[in-house]
Amino acid sequence: MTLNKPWEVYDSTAKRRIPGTLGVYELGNAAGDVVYIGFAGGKSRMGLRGEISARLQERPADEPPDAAACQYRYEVNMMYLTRYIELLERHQDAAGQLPPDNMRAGEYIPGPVLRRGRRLRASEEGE
Amino acid sequence: MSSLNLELSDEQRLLIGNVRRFVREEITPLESELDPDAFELPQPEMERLVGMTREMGMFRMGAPVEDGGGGLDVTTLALLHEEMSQHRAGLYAPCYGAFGGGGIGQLADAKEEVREKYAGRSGFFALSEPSGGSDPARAIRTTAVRDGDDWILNGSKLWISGADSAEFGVVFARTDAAAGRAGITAFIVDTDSPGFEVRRIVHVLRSTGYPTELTLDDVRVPGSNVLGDVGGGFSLANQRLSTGRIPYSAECVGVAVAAQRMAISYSKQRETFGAPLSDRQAIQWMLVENETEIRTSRWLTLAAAQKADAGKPFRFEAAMAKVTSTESAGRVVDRAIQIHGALGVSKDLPLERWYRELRIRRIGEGPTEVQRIIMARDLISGDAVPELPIGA
Repeated sequence: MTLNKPWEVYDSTAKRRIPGTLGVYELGNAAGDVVYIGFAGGKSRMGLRGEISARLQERPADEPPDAAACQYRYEVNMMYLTRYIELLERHQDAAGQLPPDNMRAGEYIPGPVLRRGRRLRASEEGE
Repeated sequence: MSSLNLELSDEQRLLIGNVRRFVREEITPLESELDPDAFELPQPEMERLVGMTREMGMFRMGAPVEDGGGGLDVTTLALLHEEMSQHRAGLYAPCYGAFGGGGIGQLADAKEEVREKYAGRSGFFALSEPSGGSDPARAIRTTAVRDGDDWILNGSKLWISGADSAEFGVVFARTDAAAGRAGITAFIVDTDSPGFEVRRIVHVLRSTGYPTELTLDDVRVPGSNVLGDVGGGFSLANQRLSTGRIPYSAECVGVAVAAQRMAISYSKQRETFGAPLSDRQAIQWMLVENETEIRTSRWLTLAAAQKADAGKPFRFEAAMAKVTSTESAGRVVDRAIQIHGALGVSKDLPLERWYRELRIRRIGEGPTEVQRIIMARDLISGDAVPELPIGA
């Protein structure tokens, strides 16, 4: 299942609205394309609120304006890791690759997602 | 006369010491940096640790020698699984797989060229279906119909771990609707076969080895991919489940041991009303209950392992070990949480993760109630012969 919720614009009041719980989230650009999928896990100091805020406030300096993430949507979920895997796999299956910000160096991509991606590419090359 | 000998050999002591040191010095420090629900290590660390276990001669100790494994006996393997599981992810990812797995054991029943093709590749085991998993002889509705030299599979499977990223699966399907348990056959199915689809991840109480639901829609499987004999799938599945229950039980014992260690340590340092918790009788009794349950589980698990090693029927003993270890480990962790108070349910400690994951263990690999049916059948039929000279 994809994260089928309306986007919310990140503004000065967003921090108060986003819960400090565990869960998963997506960041989108102005066109509504998913540019990043993330999770707030057990190591997260402020849960979804902290993770989403940090991601949207610390955008890469080289980012083209039309690719910039400016909106978010989230799901409170105690099983954040399996849900994170599911969202990554769904996106990868549909788009042929992971969201652009997830492919940056240092991002954690779970092993099952990497293996599924390799199989997906091998099968496309075989066709 | 008793055949039970729980004296450890020098080799067993050495192996246990190696694994215990490995968990303490390599796994636990890495784990403190990971997400509390993590089920895998960063790739460079994983490669380093696998390099270490290979160097120690302890990689894939449980796999058959002919498949490049250590061919370790069931008893020693159970002892090591008890050690490997004594960390946060240990119940479902003992040492994060750094000691290697046994692979899909059923491949031993495959034809040689098929075994060579699939050995070392990632696989899954697909027995359960939406219609049930505890009674596969009746519940399996996935069908396999001959088409020339091939078979055509149709149906769905549920609670299947690892199917979303695996290269192949061992899939059980009905090949003869009228033959009951003799009408089930095991097939090796490539996950890139047209018609094979993983429909969804099923979110449960654990992140490690999360289950999936999959469908087979006219999936064509070559006749050479039949495992064992046509109609022999049920005994293959049973064999796998009975054997697997021993390390499965040992891992529960290991987690209970780790929780008990934490509970004793915390009860000595935490003070209430001017005295450490360990001075309180209520806490002391919890610790004694824990220890009694741990030792009972360990004895039953090793008794089952020794029967398996002796080549005797061990279904009854494995079922008893499974029930006792899974049920009692849940209670041990529950008491350890109670002793730790609020800290016990936080993600700062591994107790909450063990609590969730142990709940699954009472259901996985055959639930408690099915194990009791297995034992009751053997008791009533007279097949469960006591090995100890009870009352002698």
